[in-house]
Amino acid sequence: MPKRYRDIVGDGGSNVAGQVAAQTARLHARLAGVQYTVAVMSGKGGVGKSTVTTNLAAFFAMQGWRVGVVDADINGPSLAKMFGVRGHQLVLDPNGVMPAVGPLGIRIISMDLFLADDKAPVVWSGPQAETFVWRGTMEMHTLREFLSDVQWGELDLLLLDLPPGSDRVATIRDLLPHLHGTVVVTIPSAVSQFVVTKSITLARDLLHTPIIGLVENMTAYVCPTCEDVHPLFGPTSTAEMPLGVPLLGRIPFDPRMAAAGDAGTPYMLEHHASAAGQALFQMGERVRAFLTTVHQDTARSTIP
Amino acid sequence: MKFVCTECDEPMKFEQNGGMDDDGSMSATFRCPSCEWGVTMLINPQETQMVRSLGVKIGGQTVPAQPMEMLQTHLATSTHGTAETLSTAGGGCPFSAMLQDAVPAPTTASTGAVQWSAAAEQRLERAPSFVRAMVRRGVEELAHEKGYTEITEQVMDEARARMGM
Repeated sequence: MPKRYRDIVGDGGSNVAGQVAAQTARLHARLAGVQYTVAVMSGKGGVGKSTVTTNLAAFFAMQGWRVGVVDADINGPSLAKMFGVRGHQLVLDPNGVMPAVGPLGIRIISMDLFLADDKAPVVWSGPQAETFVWRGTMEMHTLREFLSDVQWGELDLLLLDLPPGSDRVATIRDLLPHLHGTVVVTIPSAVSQFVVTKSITLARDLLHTPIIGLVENMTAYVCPTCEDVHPLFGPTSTAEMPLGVPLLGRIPFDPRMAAAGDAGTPYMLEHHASAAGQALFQMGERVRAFLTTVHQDTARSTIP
Repeated sequence: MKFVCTECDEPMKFEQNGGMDDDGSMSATFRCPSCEWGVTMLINPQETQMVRSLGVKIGGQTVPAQPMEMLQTHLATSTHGTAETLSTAGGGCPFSAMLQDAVPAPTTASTGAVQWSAAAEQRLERAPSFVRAMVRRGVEELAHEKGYTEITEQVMDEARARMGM
C-alpha cells in the first residue's frame, strides 16, 4: 500500500507548517501584554455592533483601562471613522505598525487606515476570476496581521468588532484560543433574534467561546429634546434572552448616538448621563464584572 | 501537498519550477530521488493565489517575515505611505519566489486599467525588495498620467528617468 500523507515526515520541503507555527508564535508573543480579549459579534447586520464596541471601549477607557480595538470587518470597516482617526498616517517599522490613537487614548487598527481614499474598496491583487477560492483566506490572514503585527503594547482590554455573520467567530477562535469572552448584539425583532440565536449556538456550543452576554440594542426611541422614551420595534422585546444568555443591557436608540458616530466621538463621552448613556454604562459594568470575576485568575494589579 | 513515487514508495523532491504564465498559472516539477521518475504539477491561478494568501512561502523564508507583509504585498487599493517604509522578504527557493513575487500586484488599476507585462514584472523583481513597492507605485502613477494600459520595460525606462534613478 502506498504511503499516506501522515506517513511522510515533514511537509515535502515546503516548510509551510513551520511558517504557520511561527506566525502563531508571533501572535501569542504580541498579545502577551494584553490582559483580556473580548469579541463583539452578531449573526445579524445593522444591529449596532460597532456602536456597542465603540462605547464599550469608551467605558473601559473612562475607567482608566488601557484599551485597544481591532476592526475585524475587513470589507466594511467603520471604526476608524467612529473613533475619528480616519486619515491617520500609519507608521511602520520593523517591529510592526503603530495603531491609530483615538479619544481617551484608545488604540485602533482598521482596514480603513490602509485604504487609499474614502471611495477605495478592499481589492486584493491576484486572479480576479473565482476570487472566492482564496479571498476568505486573505481576510483571515489580514486579521492575523492586525493582531500580531500591530504594536499594541500593554493593554488591559483588546476588543474585536466582528463583521455580520458567524463565520468570523470561528476565525477568531482559531487565532485566539484563549478569547476571554464574547458580547452578542441583537435588536428586539424576531428576525434578529432568530439569526442571533444561531450565532450563539455556534460560538458557545460548537466553538466553546465564552459568552459574556447579550446586548439588546435599539429597544426604544429616546427623544433628544425631552428624553421621553417610546417603543421603536413594538412589543417584540423578550424578557428571556435566547438560549439563557445573560442580558447585559437594553440600549435605547438616541439620534445623538448616530451623530456621535459620524462625528468620530464615542457617544458615552458626551452623553453618559442620558438614558442610553446609562444603559451603556450598565452594560460596561456587567462586562467588567464578568472579566474580573470569571477571569480573576489572570487579573493584573495595574487595572484600576 | 506531498508527492510519493508509487514505484519506489519514496517521497519525491522538488526539482524546479517551469515558470509562470501571465494568468498566474504555473508549474513545478518533482522527482523521485531513487528512480528519478518525475512529475510536473500544473497549478491554476487560484491555487497559486491560495498559497500566497496564507502569508507563507513554499520552501521557507530566507529572512523573517516582515510586519504586515501579506497585507502590504497583496492589498491593491492601499494607501500611499505605508508600503515604502518596510522591506518585503523574498524566498530563496525558485518555487517560493514565483509564488510570492511573480504574479503582478495590481494597484487600484488592477480593477481594470493597467497591466504589467511579464518582462516588466521580472525587471521589477530585480529591484531591492525594500524599494519595490515605491518603484511599482511610481511606475503606475506615470502610466495613469500618460494613459498607458500596459506597463512595459519602455514605460519603466520612462519612469526611471522621471524619478532620476
